[in-house]
Amino acid sequence: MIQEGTVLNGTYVIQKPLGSGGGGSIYLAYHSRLQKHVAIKKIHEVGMVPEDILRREADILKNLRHSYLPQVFDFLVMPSGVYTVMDYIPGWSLKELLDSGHKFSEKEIVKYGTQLCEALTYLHNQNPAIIHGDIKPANIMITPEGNIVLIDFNISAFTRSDGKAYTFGYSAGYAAPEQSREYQRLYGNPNTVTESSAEASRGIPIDYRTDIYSVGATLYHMLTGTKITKAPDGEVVTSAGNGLVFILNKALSENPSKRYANAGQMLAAFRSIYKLDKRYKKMEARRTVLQIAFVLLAAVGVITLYFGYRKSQTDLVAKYEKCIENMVEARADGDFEAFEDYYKDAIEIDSERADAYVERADMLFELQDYEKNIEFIENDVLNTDGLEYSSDIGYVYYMLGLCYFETEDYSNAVAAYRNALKYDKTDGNVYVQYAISLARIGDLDKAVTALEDAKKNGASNALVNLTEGEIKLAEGEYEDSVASFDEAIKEADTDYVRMRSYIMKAEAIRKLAANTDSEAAIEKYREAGEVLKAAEIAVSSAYKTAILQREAQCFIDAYNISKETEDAHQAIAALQAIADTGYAEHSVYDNIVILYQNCGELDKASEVLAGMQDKYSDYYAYYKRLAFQEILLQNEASANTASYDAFYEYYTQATELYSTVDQTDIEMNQLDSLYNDLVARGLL
Amino acid sequence: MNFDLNIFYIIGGALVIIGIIGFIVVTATAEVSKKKLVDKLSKDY
Repeated sequence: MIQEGTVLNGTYVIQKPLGSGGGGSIYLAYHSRLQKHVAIKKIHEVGMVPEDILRREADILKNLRHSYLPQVFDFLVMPSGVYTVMDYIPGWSLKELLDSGHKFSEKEIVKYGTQLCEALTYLHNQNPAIIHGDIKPANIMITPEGNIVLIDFNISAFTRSDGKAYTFGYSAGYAAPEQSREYQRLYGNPNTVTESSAEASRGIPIDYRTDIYSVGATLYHMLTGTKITKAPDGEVVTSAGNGLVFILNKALSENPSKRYANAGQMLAAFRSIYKLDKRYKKMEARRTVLQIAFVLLAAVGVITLYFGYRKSQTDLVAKYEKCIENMVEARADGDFEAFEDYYKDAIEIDSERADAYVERADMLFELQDYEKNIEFIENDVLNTDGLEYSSDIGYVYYMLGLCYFETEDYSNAVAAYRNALKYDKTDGNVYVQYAISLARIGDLDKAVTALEDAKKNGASNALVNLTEGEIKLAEGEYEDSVASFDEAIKEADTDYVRMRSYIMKAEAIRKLAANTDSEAAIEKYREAGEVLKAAEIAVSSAYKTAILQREAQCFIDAYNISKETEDAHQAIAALQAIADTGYAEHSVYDNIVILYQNCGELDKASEVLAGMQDKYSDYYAYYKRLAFQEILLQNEASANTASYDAFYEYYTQATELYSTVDQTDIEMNQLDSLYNDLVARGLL
Repeated sequence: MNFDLNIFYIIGGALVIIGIIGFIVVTATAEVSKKKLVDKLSKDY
C-alpha cells in the first residue's frame, strides 16, 4: 500500500488507491510536470518475471493505441516496486454501476460486449499476443461518453514461446474455470505449492479463451445482476435475446475448446448478432425451404421433361419400326408405291438410322434395278451425315458392291467390298464377293487370298465353290470351273447363289464353245442354254429375267452358227418369257422381231411389232425395225405389187426421231443405204 | 431424330418455369425482407 502524497520518480504524486486486482494495485496520481491525473499500477508479480522481460513488455504496452484501451506512457522500476503509468480514465467502473444496482439493457450489453471484443481483438492480435487475464467489471471503465475502457493489464500476460501467457491470480466469478482450478492447484494448498514450486513460480497458464470466458462472465453479470459463482455446466443463460444467449453460452462453455477461439470470432458474432436471432433464423429457414421447394419443383420439371424426351424418342422409334415393318410387308406384296411412301416416312422420322436405307437397297437389288440402287446408295445413303457410324454401313457397301458387280463394273465392286470389309472383317460372304470381283478384273493373286479369308470367316461351301469356279474361269481352266459351279449348285443355300452358279456354269460352257469347231460349238451353246433352262426351274421368279436373258443369248449364239429354226425358237421362247413379265426393255422385243425375221416368219414379226406400237411409238428404233420389216415384206411381194410408201414413212419417222437422240446406231446407216438404193432404183 | 411433343414436355416445361420464377421471386423477396429485418434487429441490439 502506497501512502497518499508519496512522490514516485519525482513526478507522480500518489493521491488515492483506485482498486486492487490479481495483477496489482492501482492508484490515482498527479503528474506534476504535465499537471494531469494519471493512473499508476503497482505490479504484484515483480520478482517472478525478469526485469528485462518486464521492460520489453512495458515498451510494447506503451505502443498500444486503441479507443477502448488506456494509453500506457511510462514504466518505472524502483526499489519500492515496478509501476506502469497510464491515462486516468474518468467515469465509473462497471463494478460501481453494478453495485449501485444499475440495470443494463440488452442493447447496452451488446454494445459493451462489442467494444470489449474490439479491444481484446486488438490485444490478441499483437505480436506477441497480449492476454488480459483479468477481465471483470472492476477493470472496465464506462466513460462519460458511454464507451468502455479496459484497464488494468497484467504486464506478465504476454504469450510466451509455448503459445501461452501466465498470470498469478484470478478473480472469482469472472475467471475461467480452468484458470481458477489451476490457481487452486498451484496456490490454494501449501503442500501443492511446495511440490510444484517450479510451476507455481511460472504462473497460471491462460490463453485467448480465458479472456473470452471472462468477457462472457462480465456480460452475464450485467445481464442477470449476479455473477457466476461456480463453473457452469451446459447452458447458463436462458433469457434475453436469442443472439445474446447464444454468444454468452458459447463464451461461457466449461470446455475451452467449445468457446470462441479468440476475441475476433466473438466480435464477429456480436457484429452479426442479428443472424442469431430467432426471427432472423426463422426468416432464413423460410426462405431456404421455399428456395429448396422451387428448386425441387424445377428438378421435378427437368425429370418430367426427360421422361417426355424418352417417351418422345420411344414413340418415334416405335413409329420408325412400324414404317420398317410396313416397308417389309409392302415389298412382300409387291406394292412398291406404298414401299416408297413408308420409306419416306421412315427417313423423315430418323434420317440417321440405317434400317430404312438398307431395306430400300435390298428392295432395289431384288428388283435388279442395279443402276438405281447404285445411285441411291452413293447419293442418298453414303452422303447422309451421321450414318457413317452405323453398324449397317458395312452391309450397305456390300450391297453397293453387288450392284456394281451386276452392272459388270468390277473395279468399283472391288472398291465397295474393300470398304465393306473396313466395317466388318469377319463376314465370309463379303470376302467371297470381293474374291469374285478381283477374279473378274484379273487380280487372281488377291482373289485367291480373299478366298482364303472367306474360308477362314465361315463362307458357305456353295460360295467357296462358286468363287473357286470364278477364279478357275479367269485362269482359263473352264472344265474345272464347270465342276466347281456344279458343286456350288448342289450346295447353294440361297436363290441368289444358285442363280449365280447356274449362270457361271453356262458361261464356262460358252467359253469352251469358243475353243471348238462349229458343230461342237453349237452343241456347247445349246448345252449352256439347257443349263439355264434348268436354272429357270431351280430359282425363284425374282431371278428368272437374269437367267432368261443369258439363255436367249446361248440359243442366239447356237442359231448364228447352226441357222436352225429350233435354236431361234428356243431363243424367242426365252425372250418372250422376259416380255411376259411386263418389265422387258425394247431390245427384248426387238430381238424377238429380228429372230422371227431371220426365220422368215414375217407375220409373227409383224404381230410383235404391232404389240410394240403403244409402248414405243416415240422411239426411233421401233420405226427402224418397222422399216426393215417393210423391206422384207415388199421383197416377198412381186415386183408389180411391191410398194415402198410404208417403208418411206417408217424411214422418215426413224430418221427424224434418231436425230433427237445422242446415239450411234449402225443399223441406221444400213437403213440410209437401203433408202438411197431404192431412190437410185427409182422405187421411191 | 424428330421432336415429338407430348404431355410430359408441357408439364415438365411448366414446372421448370414455375420453379425458376418461384426461386427468383423468393430470393428477391427474401433479400428485401432480410434487409428490413436486419434494420429492425440492429435497432433492437
